[in-house]
Amino acid sequence: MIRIVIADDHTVVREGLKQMLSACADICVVGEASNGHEVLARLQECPCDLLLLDMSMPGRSGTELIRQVKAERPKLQILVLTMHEEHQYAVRAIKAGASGYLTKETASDLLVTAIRKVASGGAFITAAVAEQLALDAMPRTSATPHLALSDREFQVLRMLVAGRGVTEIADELHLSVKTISTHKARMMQKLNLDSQADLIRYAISHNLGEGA
Amino acid sequence: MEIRTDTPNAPHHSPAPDVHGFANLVFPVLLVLVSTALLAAVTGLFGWYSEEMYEISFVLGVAVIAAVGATAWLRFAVRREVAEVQQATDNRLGSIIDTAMDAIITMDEAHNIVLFNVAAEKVFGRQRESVIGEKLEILLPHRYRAAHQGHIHQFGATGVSSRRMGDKTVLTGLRANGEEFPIDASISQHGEPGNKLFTVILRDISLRLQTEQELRQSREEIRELASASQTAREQERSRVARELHDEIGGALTALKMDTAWISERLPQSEAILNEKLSSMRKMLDNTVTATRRIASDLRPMMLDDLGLAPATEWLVHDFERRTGIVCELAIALPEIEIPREMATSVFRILQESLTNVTKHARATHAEITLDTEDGMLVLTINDNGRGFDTAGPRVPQSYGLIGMRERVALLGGQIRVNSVSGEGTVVEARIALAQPEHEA
Repeated sequence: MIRIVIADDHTVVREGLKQMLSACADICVVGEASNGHEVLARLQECPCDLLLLDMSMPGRSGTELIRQVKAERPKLQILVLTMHEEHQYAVRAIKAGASGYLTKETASDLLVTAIRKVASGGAFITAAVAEQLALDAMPRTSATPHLALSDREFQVLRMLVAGRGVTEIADELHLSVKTISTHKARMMQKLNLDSQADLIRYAISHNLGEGA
Repeated sequence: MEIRTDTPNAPHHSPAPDVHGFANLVFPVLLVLVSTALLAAVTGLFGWYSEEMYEISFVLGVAVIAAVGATAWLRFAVRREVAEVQQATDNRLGSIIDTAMDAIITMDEAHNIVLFNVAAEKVFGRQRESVIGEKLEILLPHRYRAAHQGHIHQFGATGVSSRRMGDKTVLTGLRANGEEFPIDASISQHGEPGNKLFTVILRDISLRLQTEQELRQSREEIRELASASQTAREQERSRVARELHDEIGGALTALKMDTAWISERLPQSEAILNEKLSSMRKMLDNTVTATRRIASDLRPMMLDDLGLAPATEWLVHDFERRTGIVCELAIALPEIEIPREMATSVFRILQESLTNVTKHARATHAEITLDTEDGMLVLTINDNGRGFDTAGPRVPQSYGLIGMRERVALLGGQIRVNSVSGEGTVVEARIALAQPEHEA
């Protein structure tokens, strides 16, 4: 049995969800909440396995709420159910601690599958979100932060290592000098480096030169 | 303007008095008498004396007197003519001086006023009669008098014929009633040292300064109004977008789930009902998509929820997808909170610029960068379109660029648009990250 708390500020949505889930024998809705405060209260009261959470509710909501719930109940799985289809939201929700991200548009088809997957300790995200997460989330845990560089950034880095100047690179890639400088600045931010010399030193020590 | 026919002000070139003309005759008459007597004496001495000779010398003498007299009279007449012309010129000059809108004051080397026109009377509230012969200093506030004397003296020493007084500062005059007022003045000098005249031409500029002040204030107010209405509009858009997204979106979601519920329970045999239900679900999907699009067109919630960088990323990718214009996006923002108003402005400028890229530029490629430089937030949009003449006239009703400028100006930033016909356009906006107290 999967015990669920539903958090959404729209009663009609909660009713619809309950109705949909009522058909599933292995899923049981044990609590409802319509704002961040109620979510925390409900989680205190009733033992549950999964929180089905809307990203935008009155009061505390979104990633902030996910973080707080995760801090209080680390083992609780969170499945985000939202109107926002942009992957930028999804990536942030997952980074904050959610295990799944589902848009309301697809809910009627995928909700039950997503709940079962997340409740069993899996993740439920789209391919686009997974890719973004791979790019964004890796440097925090990996010893090879340069994997977080985009293809373009990687290209610029290799050309810098080959001894080419920013203007030269800009000419070769048919881009403006400003764009190349910004790519360089972004790489330094991603790799937590202070100067171009550090950047090149990093690239050489990680064997990222041209031909690598 | 009062035009006065009498010219008490005109410089006094006195016409030649009558006595002078006749005095001129005395010497030639004496000369003729003496020479006649001399002639008589000489002819008598040499025994040439005769009646005829005496007559001849007498007639000769009279002729000489007549000639000299005529000459003298002629000279006198010419002089009188010249004097009359001079008088007419003086009259005309006097009336010009009095017709002048500017106050004209002439003083001699001792700073005594010798000329004071009608405009000067009006400006200073003093009668000409009461100031002629007085020191110029009486027209200045006490605290400036000493310095002023020095300035005039210095000017006299330079030999420069004229210059603006007070350089860049505004000078102050003193009216008879003690009121001080701002003036704009220039000074000129003429004549030889020891006999110099200084002429000051000045005008009361209180009205001009007041108008300038009012204009400045009015511009400031318009700018504030624009700012307030922009902020209000953003707030309104934000509110409506959220309502659409949450309320309508929520209701549509519930409807979708309901139709799914019905669909599950509807027997397959009910073909017509199933078909109807299917088309309803399709329409619901379209409505959800439309609602979401309208909401994000109003104001992408991502801007408020996630911040400028993700919103920029989303906007550029969405633009690329919709238009097929290949975009290179580079964002390098430090982990800092960007004030809401600044984020909104940058986002709107990017939106406006991208719209221009599709509308006017016919570009196939665009580069967008967003980063920081010396404490400034820098946004650049660079396209490979056909460009335009930045100096050309503004297309009527096109407020895009003005709007962008205003947005940036409100935040104390700058926007530069560089475009060369046929070589694309670069828009660059720079805004200081550290803002003096500003609210979204």
